[in-house]
Amino acid sequence: MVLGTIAMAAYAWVVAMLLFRARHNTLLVTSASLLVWLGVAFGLWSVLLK
Amino acid sequence: MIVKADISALKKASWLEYSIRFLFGGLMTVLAGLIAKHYGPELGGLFLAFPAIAPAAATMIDQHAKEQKQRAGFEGHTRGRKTAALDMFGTVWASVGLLAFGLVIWWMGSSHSACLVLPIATVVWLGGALSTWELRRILKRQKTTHHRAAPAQFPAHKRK
Repeated sequence: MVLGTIAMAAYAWVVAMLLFRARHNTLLVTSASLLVWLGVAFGLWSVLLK
Repeated sequence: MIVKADISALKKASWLEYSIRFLFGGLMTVLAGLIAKHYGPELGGLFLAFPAIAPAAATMIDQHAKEQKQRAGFEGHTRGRKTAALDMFGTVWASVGLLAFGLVIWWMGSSHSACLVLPIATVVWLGGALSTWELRRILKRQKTTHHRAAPAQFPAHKRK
């Protein structure tokens, strides 16, 4: 959960930056950015817990 | 801004919107439980912080802000997007509270009863979330003060 939370913070930051700076659809940005969460979460998990 | 609870805000969203949030949140909790059962609690726990309701919540916030602006006769797309972005910035700060919640359970969970650990972790979460809000407010105030003070520090002969 701790590693997932770090990934969630990264996800939320990326989504906020994209929504602020680009003129993309909100649903598209928030859905596509779930890949950021998956990447960070599994990256941290494989480095620290696997 | 002082943090306060506004119960009237609950009326602004429809039952469908609440249902969508509960549905995605509930499904993710079930999925996290199933993953924990099959692949172990470490991998399952990872999914307890999956932003399952974020896309739906941000889209609804965007829609509400856009509609409000359009009722006033404006286009509203930019306002909607930026309101959703601010909500997401709030999530970044709120993650600190959730991180503290997870750390308390990780630290105390194996040696104490869940009835004791969960309330303590919840109080720590609330403290963490409010502290980060206060920290953000202090940092913002310092930044504003610094920007206002900056022109006075600029040498007078170089000012136009």
